[in-house]
Amino acid sequence: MKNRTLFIVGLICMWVISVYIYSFQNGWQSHDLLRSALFILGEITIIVSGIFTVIKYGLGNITGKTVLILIIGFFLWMIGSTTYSINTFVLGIDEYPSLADLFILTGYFFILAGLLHEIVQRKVSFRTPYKLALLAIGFVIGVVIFYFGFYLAIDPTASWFVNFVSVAYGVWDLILLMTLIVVLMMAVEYRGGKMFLPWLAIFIGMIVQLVADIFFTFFYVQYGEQLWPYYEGIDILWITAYLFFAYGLLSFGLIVKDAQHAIAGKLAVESKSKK
Amino acid sequence: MDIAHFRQLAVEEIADTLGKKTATMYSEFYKDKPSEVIKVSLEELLTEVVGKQQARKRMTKLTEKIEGVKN
Repeated sequence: MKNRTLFIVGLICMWVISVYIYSFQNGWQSHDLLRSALFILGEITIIVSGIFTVIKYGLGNITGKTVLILIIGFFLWMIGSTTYSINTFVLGIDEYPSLADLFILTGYFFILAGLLHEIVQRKVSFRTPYKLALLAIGFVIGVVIFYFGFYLAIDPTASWFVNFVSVAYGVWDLILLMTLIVVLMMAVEYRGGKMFLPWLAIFIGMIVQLVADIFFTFFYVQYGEQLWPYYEGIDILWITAYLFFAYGLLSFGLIVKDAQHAIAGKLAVESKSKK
Repeated sequence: MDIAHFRQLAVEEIADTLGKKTATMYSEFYKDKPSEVIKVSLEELLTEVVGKQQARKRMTKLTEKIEGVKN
């Protein structure tokens, strides 16, 4: 319990520092690298949390494998962000799409694969009222993504490649959303249990991520020029999503750690009483 | 009820939910326990981790497996 509280406090501190650096130091150019570092630190936190959980579960377990696939996706996102930061702040190359987008879009594939792996392997079944309610919510959000991620994303003045990449973000978001609906249904199945919260955190993280992606697709010119509040706002949304992912992934590992601690205690008591 | 088989299924369920290491620890804990104690302990653990609804589903599946062997 102590570890979990410390981790949550750490995540909240990271979020507050990020908001401060991004919001109140706007225009302070020397903070560009610091902002990038915070952004990448968010992704590193997810990866480290995930590695902890994979070690706790082992690779013979469904959730252990799921988290490993997710880590690969987040790792690719981290490489993408690092590439973007080096291009923009070190080399002074300001291009969209770039190699960074390739890494990020490939990362989406692994994240989707990870979530599908968990859903398929767990053979989760749902009751009809949940299915209907969540499909209705999914439809509404899907229409919003379609409008912002497809319809408004296409820029007639931009090249076909720019439009292709912009729409690719929208396509991934839409596929991820459908998968997320099932993830939420799975979380609902676990309500009352410790597994509920990590899945809910991942779901919330993905929703925040989708919102940030929609804004990015719509305002990529303003983002590229680092205009207030587009650049800062979108990055803060992404960092917020990352911290939710980190919390979710680490929580899985902590559940295992707590269970092991509890059974170790029982075994110790037994062994003592036998003596 | 074949206690050894039941114990094995319970440990497999734990491995599926909480990984192999946790399952090994429970295997040690269950080794000299009667089936009723194992059943209660497993149901408690599953309820804590995956919630009441999923725990009930998994326990029913486990019981069906046992019944299948018995029949």
